[in-house]
Amino acid sequence: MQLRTTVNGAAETLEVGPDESSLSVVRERLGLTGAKLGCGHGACGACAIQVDGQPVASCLLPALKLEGRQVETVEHLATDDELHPIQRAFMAEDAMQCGYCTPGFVVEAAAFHDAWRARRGTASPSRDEVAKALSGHLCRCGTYAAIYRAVIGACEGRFDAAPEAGAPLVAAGPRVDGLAKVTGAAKYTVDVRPEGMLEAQVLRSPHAHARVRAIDWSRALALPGVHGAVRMTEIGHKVRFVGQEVVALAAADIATARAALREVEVDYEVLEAVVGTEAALAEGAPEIYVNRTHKRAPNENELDLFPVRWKANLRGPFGMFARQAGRAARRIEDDAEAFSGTFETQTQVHTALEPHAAVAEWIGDDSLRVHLSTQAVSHMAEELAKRFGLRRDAVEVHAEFVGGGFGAKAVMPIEALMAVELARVCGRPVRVANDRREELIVGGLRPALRAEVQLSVPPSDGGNTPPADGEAPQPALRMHTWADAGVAIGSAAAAMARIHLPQAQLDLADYDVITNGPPGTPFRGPGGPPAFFAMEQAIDAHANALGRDPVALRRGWNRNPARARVYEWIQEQALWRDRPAPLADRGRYRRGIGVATATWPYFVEPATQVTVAASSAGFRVSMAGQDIGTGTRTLLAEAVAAVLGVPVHTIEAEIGDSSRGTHGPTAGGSRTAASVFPAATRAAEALRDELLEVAEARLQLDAPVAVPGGLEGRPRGDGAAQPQFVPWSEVLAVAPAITTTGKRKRDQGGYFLPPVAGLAIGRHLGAGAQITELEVDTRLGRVRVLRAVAGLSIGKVHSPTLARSQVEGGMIQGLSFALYEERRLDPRDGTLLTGGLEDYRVCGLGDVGALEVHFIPGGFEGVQGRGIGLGELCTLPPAASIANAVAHATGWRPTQIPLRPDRVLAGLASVAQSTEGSQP
Amino acid sequence: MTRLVPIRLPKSAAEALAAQAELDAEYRAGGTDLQERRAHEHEPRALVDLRDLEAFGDIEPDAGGLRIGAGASLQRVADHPAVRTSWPGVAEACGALGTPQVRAVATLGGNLAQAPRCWYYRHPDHSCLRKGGDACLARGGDHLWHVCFDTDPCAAPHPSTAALALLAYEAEVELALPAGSAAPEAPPKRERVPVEAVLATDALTQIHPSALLTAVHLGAPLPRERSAYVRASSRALAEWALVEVCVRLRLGADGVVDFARVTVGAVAPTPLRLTAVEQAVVGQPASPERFEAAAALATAGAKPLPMTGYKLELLAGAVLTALELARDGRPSPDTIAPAPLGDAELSEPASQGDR
Repeated sequence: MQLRTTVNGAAETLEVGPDESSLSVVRERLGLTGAKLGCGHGACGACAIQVDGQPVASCLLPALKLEGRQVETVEHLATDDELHPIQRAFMAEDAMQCGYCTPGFVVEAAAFHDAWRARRGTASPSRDEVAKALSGHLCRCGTYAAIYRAVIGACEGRFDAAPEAGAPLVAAGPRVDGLAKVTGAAKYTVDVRPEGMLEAQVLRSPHAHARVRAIDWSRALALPGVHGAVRMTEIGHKVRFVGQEVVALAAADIATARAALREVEVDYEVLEAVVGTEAALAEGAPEIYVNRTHKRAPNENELDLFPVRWKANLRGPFGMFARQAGRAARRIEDDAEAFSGTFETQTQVHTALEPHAAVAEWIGDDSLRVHLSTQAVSHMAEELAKRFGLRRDAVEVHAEFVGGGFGAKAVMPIEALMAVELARVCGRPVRVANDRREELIVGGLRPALRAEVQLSVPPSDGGNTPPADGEAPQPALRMHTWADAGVAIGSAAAAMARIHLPQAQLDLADYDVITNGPPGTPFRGPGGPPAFFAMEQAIDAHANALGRDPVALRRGWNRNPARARVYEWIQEQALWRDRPAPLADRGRYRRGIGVATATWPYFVEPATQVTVAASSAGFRVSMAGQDIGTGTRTLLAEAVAAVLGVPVHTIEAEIGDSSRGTHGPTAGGSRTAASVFPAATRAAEALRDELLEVAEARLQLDAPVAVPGGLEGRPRGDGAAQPQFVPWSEVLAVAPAITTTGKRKRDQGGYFLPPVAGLAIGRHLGAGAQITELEVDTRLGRVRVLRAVAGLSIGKVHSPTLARSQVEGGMIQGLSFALYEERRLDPRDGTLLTGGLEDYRVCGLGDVGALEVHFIPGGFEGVQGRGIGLGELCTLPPAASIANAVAHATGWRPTQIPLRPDRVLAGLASVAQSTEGSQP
Repeated sequence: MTRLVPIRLPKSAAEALAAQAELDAEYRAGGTDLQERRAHEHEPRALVDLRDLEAFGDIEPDAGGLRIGAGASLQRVADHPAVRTSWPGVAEACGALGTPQVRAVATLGGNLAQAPRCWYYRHPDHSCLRKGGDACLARGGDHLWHVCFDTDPCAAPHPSTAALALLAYEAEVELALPAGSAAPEAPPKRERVPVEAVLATDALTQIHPSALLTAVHLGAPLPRERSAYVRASSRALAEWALVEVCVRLRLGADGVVDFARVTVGAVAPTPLRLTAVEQAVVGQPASPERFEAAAALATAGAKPLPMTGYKLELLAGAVLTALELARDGRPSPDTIAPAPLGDAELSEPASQGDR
């Protein structure tokens, strides 16, 4: 049908289908890709556009409803020389990470801001008002704290003008690619559309366990518009979870591909399935990996798999990191007061707002270009070259912008393989992009974990002075865990005790329970949040039971300087120091304060190299790396800008392409900052030194020295002259094009382990803590975090504003894990039930209390660049911190998350009956 | 790339009914529910889009009460001065559901007629009872969010928040029905039925396959009423309710409750009016003890499923909270202007997407 509408001021007449969405009109018809498809059901708001000034979810708005309306998209909020105040505010407050949700937030916040200013002038809106207005938006990176700051600040009129008149728009905030994100200009993989591109759809197994006997796609391939198909499960092989890829098919458009898949006939021999860990371990349960198929099990962890015993569907124990396990077990057995508890955490799904997506294109027979939503352009290019027998330099992997990853996009995605195979079969570019339901099935997950924990603490000597740090007798800990990573293996959760309590006696065992569920993949701090949820609650509970101070107790055991700094920091915090007695409130609402700590290693990719180039156009830093929202571009630009003493925004940072620049690290394992910053600094220093030589030779200066923004030197032979300042631009004008490369040097004392497969584990450990104040509504079972303060010891903080953003994001993801997120499968057939963002609950703006981030100075002198990564560390304490606070508030110790209202009510009822008023 | 099903954009109810009958179509108002569901249907039905229906979203005085066109957006209902003054529970409920983006587009009629939010029903590959299958898949499966008054073969709770508020106000809905034997272009028959008559599974299509919900009628307002809407959920905002409650109270000069309406949602196949709770508070002082005793009656007759027992405690808690909030809230005026404010007096521009 004909649609006449106005988009960004231009009249448009289009022919649209009855079911076509407004999102399709702006993105596909008009090429305005700022609005994003996030969930497809109005829950995430990434697709927001304004219709007659009112923000709407364009994925749910039929295109025909735009008749006669004025549509405004994010692309139209700014002009060439003026941003909307909300855009400036989002940039200045760094209210973005990956940026995929940012256009939606900006479109909604701009409408709220404009209406607010019209009615209320520069009055300050409350957090509650902002939360309600923006409740239709989700940010998976967790930028909510900054969004509050940005929206409130803009409404107060603080961002009505640029910080400096005449400054370039890009300088409105610390993130060098912030402008691209707030204007919708940032291009993600899902926004790429090469000429002639086909769309792929995937036929997925409806069975949790079956053997594929035959596939007949002849009728599908005969349909008009269908270009080709590839098998993703070999004939005779098994599918092991509902949703596993069986056939991928490419057609002119998605609807044609979907219709064609319905014509594909697959003959399955349906096998008995194992749904849930209980069924997997039951006597006579069908074995999921029979005989020699163990090696087909994917690895859910970042570490290489060690050979570990298998018994039917149970793999383990993995106990390599145990320490004096026998003695630990005996001590616990002999200690009548030992703590004993079982902790259970749920399956958490990464659900980055940009789904896994790939656009593959063959150039000739031996050259490949893949746009890929990935955390690892360099690594993926190497892997693709290997798999398809191509030269490394014949493969380009592009990821200009990446809409979140959290670990799930660090491994080779099957979406890339499908796109490449289909592109070869069809001879055309092919796109594979998961929809939200697919992403929630196969997009990666953190395994559910059951942890049995016992802890024995030696009695204190009864003296008044606590022992010095590390001088108290060590505890004994027994931690045995059972992970459900579906068909994947490699759990190493209990192993984390070895880095957290390295001097303790540790009986540690990790088991994988294999089930017919989607496979786990590494997820931000693999094993960490569940492990610390168990360990840090055990310590808290046992300290309370023994009447000991939980922080002093930890200090007594600790010999690590980063942890020492963190423990001292906790004890200095008023929120902790002045906390009320347990169970202080007796009414409907009960407040409590809890603390939890964590320790985490950092990785380094020693092969990291950064290139810096100088030309008459200015400075450019490049690396074959990517930015998944943490701020790699900014980090590179800052490192170079610091050496040259120039504004960060004058450095062009070029990443997101495996074929340009030097080897960049995978964004994962908290390795980017510690790998990239030192290399960028060295490259910039080498460049600076060359420029000094150029100046000496071509500008006739004696012994020039670098100063901020340029150099100083005396004209040759004139010893009496004042040194004169020469800005870099004048040096560049006379200099040849110069390119320097900086490598990442070894840390002082080397690494904890020598690099394996290009990856080293650093010698130092980062430490962190979170203090949480919350309120439990004992009537409606809701837990509300009022305030949380995080303290991290990670040495020097590169890009402090962006680092804060990342920590806030980690705290928010941890909160979301503790209170809301939960993947659920049908207990009978293993079908995913939480297939959208209404049922898979990710925390929203209204769920986040006031957050504070402290970086504790000191330490890490031996590390190149003197600082380490923090992306994983910050997301480890929140769940335990929240649980400890609930116990402090109510006397009920939550051993199972998420803390749904039904669990909270049941938990409160259990303590009301038994131990009213006792110590938590 | 779109599938081309037949679609009509009628200008009148008569045309709409005729087009529906001709195409066996489904009606589309705001489209927020249909858009996602139809995206996954293999053979979606034809559409009768109500975009161009004349006066479909008008809100106007009606015999001492108010007639709200079914095409009015939920946000417009929530913001409408007359609704806010005289039927405050309706305004509060409509303003609390969904998200601002959804409320701007979704209509009052569509909210009443939307399909269940059950994750089996919404699953593209599952055929449950409501989609022509043999059994309710939630019963033997995972029904954590389902009913605790198990009175229907389908275990999904009714999803409409607006419905429980309208039930608390004993609202009626206006239906346009084919005028019997007359020519298809004849003006349709208008029928008014209590709101609960269209809420049960397939109730509307059982009245007539072409039945079109055209308006909601609110009766004369009750002076000095106090109302509250309470939603129990995990997250603070933008979440389907685990339990939701609408309460209306009036207190006499002596502090004794002389009028009460208590309706609840998300617990049963349709919203429920809890007359036992109402009777327990009427004639009694609005005291904590009375309220607590009355709220405890909220679960009378409940029949939870194995996983929904928790909803009983939540229900009693939410009813108690709503009673307290209503008691402590500001009453509506002693006298209410006979002619409610019309659209022209709205301080905000009318919301979009609902014409």
